[in-house]
Amino acid sequence: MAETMTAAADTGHHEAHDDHGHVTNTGISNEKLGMWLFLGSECLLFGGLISTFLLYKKKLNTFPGFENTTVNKLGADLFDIPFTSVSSFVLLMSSLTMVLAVSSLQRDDQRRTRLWLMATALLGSTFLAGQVYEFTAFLNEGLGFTTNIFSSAFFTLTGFHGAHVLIGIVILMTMYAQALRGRLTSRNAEALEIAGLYWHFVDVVWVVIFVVVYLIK
Amino acid sequence: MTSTAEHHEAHPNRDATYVKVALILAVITGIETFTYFESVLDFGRATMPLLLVCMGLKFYLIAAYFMHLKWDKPILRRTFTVGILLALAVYIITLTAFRFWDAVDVMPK
Repeated sequence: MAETMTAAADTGHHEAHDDHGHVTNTGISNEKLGMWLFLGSECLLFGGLISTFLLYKKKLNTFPGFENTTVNKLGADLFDIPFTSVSSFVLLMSSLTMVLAVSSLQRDDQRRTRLWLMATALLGSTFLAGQVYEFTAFLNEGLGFTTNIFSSAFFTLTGFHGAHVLIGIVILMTMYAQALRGRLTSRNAEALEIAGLYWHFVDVVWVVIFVVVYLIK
Repeated sequence: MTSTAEHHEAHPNRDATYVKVALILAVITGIETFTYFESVLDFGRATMPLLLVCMGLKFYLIAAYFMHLKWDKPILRRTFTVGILLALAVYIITLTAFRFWDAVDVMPK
């Protein structure tokens, strides 16, 4: 009985999603499943970068040439925590505007979709500008990519994340251009949902970086 | 039932939920930031576990609500969870191989 009800509910669900593309045997479009698999692999990429950073931070004074050296002497004391906290807040809020854009498009509210999409792109750009400012401040203090082992790990990790944000902004602006031309409607709302998944993942990675790199002393 | 009604049923309006989640995320970020300034909030030895719990909570809220894993098909939750667990396992093994967990004095001498 329960199985019959579940099957009936599933069928109804599939019918309700027919406008998002062809039905697959998983009930999820190949594009969406592909994005989730990609995000799963991205976990491995960022996991590697975070592990490398942790390793260099913790075992610093065991590396030749870095005996009796502390992380603070290498640059961690340059971190501007209030500034980075504001940047983190900005990125978190961009996730909210992104999910509101998807929600608006699913209701076919074109005006709000465009508004929230632009807000997300602007918040993402603000975050990126903050990162550029932070990197420039570090360079002015003499902390470059090859200055020491800590800075190499730090710039690689946060730089890779920044590159992901930049790609996300390009995707958002492409979606915005499509919305302006009337090509983004509730019929293909899943395309925006998939772009949103990428954007939220970038936010989730920053949640980890903010704690592991900046806050844990 | 009309197709419009079916469409709205398939995509219920959750905007209020999203705003509430964003507010919770903002509060957690505030707590995280204050832990950095021991003169404002000093949790002593509990600081690191607290930060990790806050980080995990934020991660869950974004994945569950903003990425719709709470409402989406279970296969997506499993795909993402497997990716995270695989990454955690691989890198815990890697860090162990590099003796990361050994007590190493990194404090100023």
